[in-house]
This record gives sequence, C-alpha cells and structure tokens, in this order.
Amino acid sequence: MIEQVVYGDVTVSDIILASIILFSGAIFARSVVVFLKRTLSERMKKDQLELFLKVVYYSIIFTVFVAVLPILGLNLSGLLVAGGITGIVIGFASQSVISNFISGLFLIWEKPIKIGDSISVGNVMGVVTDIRVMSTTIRTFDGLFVRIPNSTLFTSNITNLTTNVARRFEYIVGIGYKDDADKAKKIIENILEDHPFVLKNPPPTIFVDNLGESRVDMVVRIWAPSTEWFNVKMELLWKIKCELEKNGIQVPFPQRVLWFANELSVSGGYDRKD
Amino acid sequence: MFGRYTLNNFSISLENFRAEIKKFDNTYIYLREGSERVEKAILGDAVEIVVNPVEPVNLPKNITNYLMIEFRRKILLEPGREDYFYVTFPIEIGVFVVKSKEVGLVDIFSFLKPKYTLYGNPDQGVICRYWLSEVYDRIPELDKVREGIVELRITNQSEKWVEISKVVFDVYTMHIYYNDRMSFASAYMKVLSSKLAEAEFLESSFEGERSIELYTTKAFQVVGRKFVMEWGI
Repeated sequence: MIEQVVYGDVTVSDIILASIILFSGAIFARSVVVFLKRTLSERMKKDQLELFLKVVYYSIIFTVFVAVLPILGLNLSGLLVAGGITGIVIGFASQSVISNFISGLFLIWEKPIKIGDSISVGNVMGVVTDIRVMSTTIRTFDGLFVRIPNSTLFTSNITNLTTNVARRFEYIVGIGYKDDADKAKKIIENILEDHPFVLKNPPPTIFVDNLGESRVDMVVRIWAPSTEWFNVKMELLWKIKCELEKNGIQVPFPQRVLWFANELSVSGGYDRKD
Repeated sequence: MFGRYTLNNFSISLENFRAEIKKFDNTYIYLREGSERVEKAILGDAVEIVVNPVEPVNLPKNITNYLMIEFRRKILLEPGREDYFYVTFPIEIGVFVVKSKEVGLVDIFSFLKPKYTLYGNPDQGVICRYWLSEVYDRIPELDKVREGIVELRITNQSEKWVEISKVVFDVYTMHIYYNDRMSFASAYMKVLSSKLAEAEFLESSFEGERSIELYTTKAFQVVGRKFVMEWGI
C-alpha cells in the first residue's frame, strides 16, 4: 500500500516521509524560536527580537521545505523555469496579496513604526502589537484588535506618537478680569516646576492669549516625555485649578453684565392673584 | 545610612522618613513610610541587606538612562588645557537583598524631588535626569543622603576657548563609591569643539565601598557607552 506509486517515482511512503520532515521542521523551528525568545528577551529590544525570530523561523521552514522537494520528485531547476510563468499568473491573481507583502517588506525596512509604538493611522489610534509580512495589528487604546493590511498602512499618513522623545501639550486656563495674571502665572509655574516630568528644557510657556467675554484665557504649554505626557496631562489641570482657587483666583463661569436704561425698582415680595 | 545590615537589624530613620524590616511569624516585611508607603515581604533566610546610592535615574519611574548635570557657574577652558573640579549629583538610595552574590532590588527612594529635561531636540535628543550643581575646586561638605560628588576631569582638545555649562552622562558607565562621609564618582569630559564633547564615568580609586549597580553593560558589549554631546555643551 505505502509503496504504491502516486506520480512519477513518488510513492505514498515518500509523501508520508516528506510530511513527517515538514512537520518535524515546523516543530524544530518553533522550538528554536521559543529558545531564542527566552534567551534573548532581556538582551534585545522587543521589536528587534520579533523581527529576528521571524527571520529565523521562516529561514528554517524554507530550508526544510527546499530539502523535502527532491523527496517529492520536484526538481528545483525545473521549478525555477516554471516559476517565471507561474509567478506572472499568481501575480495577476493575487495582486493585493503581493502588494501587502511588498508593503510589509518596505515597512520593516523603512521602520516608520515599531512594535510597541503608539500610532494613529486614518481613524485608528493605538499601540502596534505586531508587524507581519501581510498586515500590521494594532491594539486600540480602548482594547480593540485592529488589523490593517500593509498596503493600506504603507500608503496612509502615519502619525507616530512615540518616535520623538518629547511632545508638547497645552491647557487653556481662564481667570477672572479682576484677578492678577502675573500671580496666576507664578502659581502655575510653581506647580509645573514641582512635577518631575514637566521638562526643564524646553521650558513650559504661560501667557495671556485671549481676552474673552467673561474671562482672561491663559495658555499653558508643557513639554513632557512622550511616554509620560498623557499621565502628566491628566494630573496637572486639576492641580492648577485647585491651587489657583486656594490663592483666591477663581476660574470664572460665563457671565454677562446687563445695563438697564431705566433704574429697576426691586420689591421684597410678590402678590399672588388667584 | 549606607552599608550592610542583617534582616534583624535593618532600620533607618531620618526626619519624617522611616524604613525597617519587621518579622511577622516566619515572614520578614520591608516597610517604608514617609512621603509614600511601601511594603514588601522578603521570603529568604541568611539574607544580607545592602543600602547604597544608585544611579539617579529611577524616580519616580525609570524613563531614561541619561543624567545631565548643569553647572550653576559656567566654565571657560583655554585651548589644550586639562583640568578638574567637583560637581554634585543627586542621590537615589537603593535597598537590596543579597545572598551568595545574587542581588535583588527591594526599594529605591530619595530625599530629593526629581526633575527631567530634554537634551537636544525632540526627534533626535534624549530625555535626561536633570540636576543643577555648584562647581567646586575642592571636595565640599555635603548632605550625604542628598548629594554625591563627581570629580570631573575636563580636557579641551579644540584650538579655541570653550564655554562649558553642562555635562551629560550615560549612567551605564556610572560607578558610585561611598563611605561614611560621602558618595563619590569620577568622570571625564573630552571637549572636541565649542559644541561637541564626549563624557563618561570612570573607575575610581576612592577609598570606600563600591555601590551595587542597577545599570551594567553586558559582557559582550563592544561599542563603548561614552555619551557624545552633539547638541551643545
């Protein structure tokens, strides 16, 4: 039964042997990857390690695959000749697949993003969890899994939120017209000086930006490390508000002063007519 | 404060700060109280506790391995001159458990408020722990739990006078030594032009214990870790 010829000189036993070798090769590749991951995880950056492991994994799989071909009676030189024609056919049939693959290679080479980066692409914003040859996966900040085909990613405007080591954010803090803007500025400066991750340089800037209808708007611009800016942003605004109020500076509500042409007489009560 | 303790005799107190290890049944509990409260269980016997200054880039959390020391008084150095002076660095204190040369980190604390800064520009620069220091021509008397001494040797290899206002180090090169009086480190800064320099910490012959280090270069590291200051000195 197992010596039964399937095609050419290839028997059932050859196919079983090839399958066993392929299966063993896959297990071996996986084992090597697991071993390397354990050994190198503390010595290499995560994105570099992932790329290295992929190269190792696919190299082993490719080597095993090539080694198995003669058992299956497939001649590599023949494949190369046939490959040209087949490649054209496959290329037309799977343009998007090839496009994604090539884009994936360019993404890995150009490195506009790395695993672990926070990015914004189109209307998706989140952390890059993997860059594969066909697609890139992102975990959005609200925990959703998003898969973006590499060709889409490659032709989109990518905003990498963490490539630069520092970034700026700003608040607009309103104070009353009767309040002292210089005093408010000093109070805010002290709060910013106290926070470790409000960078000393570039220094924060605080200035009166707008004289609004019911308040004076002060702009507070702060530079923070890219990895920390959101925590800093969350922490500081309420501190500023509390500290200003503690020092007698009110963050005002919208208000309007009304002038009446005739003086109004105000009575102490009202008559109710049934 | 710095030195070696046993599990049973570890207790540090200073102003409103207190750190100690208490035994509850068979478990040792590390407890620190002050501006914040830290509590950890230590499961191990015959363990030694080591308290020493560590590289000052850990608080409130580690986001960088660079330390910038800005000089309160700028220094002008003539062409070709080599000189040395003393500046200070901020002290962060590490508490370690040690058994047969295996070291575990228990806690890091400091009596200073940390501050960070950017050296260079946002896309190519680095975030650094920031420290403003006086410049001394001899070793000053300092509060040893807050400030340590860096002996900084500077060489001006350019052909012009240079003005130096700061130095940036990679703490992976930092070796801190301590004794009863102070914490100490040696460093070298090679000025190549008015805007370019190299800086690194050096081994020192200081008489004292060498601190347990948190940032150590790997044995197979080929490239040196001296920091190239290319965005101004």
